[in-house]
Amino acid sequence: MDSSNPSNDGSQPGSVDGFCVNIKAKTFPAAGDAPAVKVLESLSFSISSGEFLAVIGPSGCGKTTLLNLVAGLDKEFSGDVPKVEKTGFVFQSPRLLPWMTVAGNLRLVLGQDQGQDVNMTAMLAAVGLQGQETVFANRLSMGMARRVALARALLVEPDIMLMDEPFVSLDESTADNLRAMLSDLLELTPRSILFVTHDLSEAVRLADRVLILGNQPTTTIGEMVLDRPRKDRDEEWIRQTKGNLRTRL
Amino acid sequence: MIRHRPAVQGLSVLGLLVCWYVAATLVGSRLLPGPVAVFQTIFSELGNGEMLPHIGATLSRVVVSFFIAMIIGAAIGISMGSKKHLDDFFDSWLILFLNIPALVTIILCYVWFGLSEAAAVLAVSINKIPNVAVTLREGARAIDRDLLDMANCFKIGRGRTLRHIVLPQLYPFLAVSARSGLALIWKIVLVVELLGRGNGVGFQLGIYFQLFDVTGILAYSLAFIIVIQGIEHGLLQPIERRVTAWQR
Repeated sequence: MDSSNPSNDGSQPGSVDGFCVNIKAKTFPAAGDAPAVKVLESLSFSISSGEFLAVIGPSGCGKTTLLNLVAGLDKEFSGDVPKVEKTGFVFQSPRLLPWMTVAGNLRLVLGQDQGQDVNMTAMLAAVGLQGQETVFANRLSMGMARRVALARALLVEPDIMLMDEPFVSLDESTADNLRAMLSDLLELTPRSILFVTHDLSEAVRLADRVLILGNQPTTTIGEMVLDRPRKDRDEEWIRQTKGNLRTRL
Repeated sequence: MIRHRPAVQGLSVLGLLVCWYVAATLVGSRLLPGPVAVFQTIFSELGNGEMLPHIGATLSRVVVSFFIAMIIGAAIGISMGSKKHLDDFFDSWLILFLNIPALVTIILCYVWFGLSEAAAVLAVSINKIPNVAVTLREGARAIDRDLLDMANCFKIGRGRTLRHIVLPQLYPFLAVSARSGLALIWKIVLVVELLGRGNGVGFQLGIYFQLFDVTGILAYSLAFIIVIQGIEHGLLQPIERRVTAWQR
């Protein structure tokens, strides 16, 4: 499980031992008067099975771009990202279909058109939305919509879960509730997660390892392993670790 | 307020009839018959079996042209809205076709393809296709890329993406072109019938025109307006309400 050792064995579907991302360069082509911009350069890391990797970096450093490359949504780059069977993506905005109910949104990714799914019901209960199946997604509060987006990503039982600042634009107590909920869910079923954020305390609270991005074009400038179990992380430890992390930025 | 709407609308129609009646009475000419005479003609034409076949013929031309125009127009519009190079190339074609007068298309279709049913329907469709294409091009441009990325990432599949993600975003645009399409198409169908068909409301209007029978002209026009309004309120609006129910 040594993450520094990039293994190139063909990973089994369903397991992502050594989910190795290796981006040589990502450049946005010139558009109109704007010149071409190289956003990412020599950025490689791997995520072992069940590991929670947080990527932090200043706003606009290309974190969302990185996730789009890993998800295979953007193929215009040089380098390799692993192909996996199932990807779960929690986007920066919930990206639910407003003309569908909560249940409809979840059924869509399950490949069903109707009917009740036991996993779906259980998942809705797990994210605190039991009985909300028939609510149209455009009627949900931001906090609820984010819960549905999280439920949607977990429900596909992803080999890798990508999370793009999934708790922004929420008030702090709602965001904290959701972080605690995610932490509890991962306690039950660990998932390999690539989580990008600019919020240091969020990264320190949740991640097993933090990757620090910086420079222009963006590359890895540091790494920190957080070996204390998530549930044992108290405010004091979080504050200290955050302080340590800040000195590395 | 909403509850009073049917009453207000009923009153408004009644007001219009009263104005018509008063004007017709004041003028007192057979060139401006009143509502009573016109409705009497409608009922007698319905009674003697004259009117229904003509209305049926016109309606079937409207329906066929409508679907041809909607399907082809939507296909062109969506392709142009989603493929930049197609849009760049065909944009001037679309502008040209938008600006051809209906009468020119009708005459050319009759000249080139003969005075046939197919030529008639083709002429009407060609008139409407560019309008549908322009509206649906806007619709395709407005499609949310973020939702397509989501569908792509969760491997929702082409068919389901089209059905659940693309089409719902196009419904408002389809609804707009369906409603304006119906309004435009039936008027063009009448011209097509006047110029080159042996039946239909337009053909009948031509006959009554030659006889200077304004009562007949108004009777046939009014009868078909009622049919079109019935489709609009009984079919198109309920469908539109259903597909936009989530917006409330």
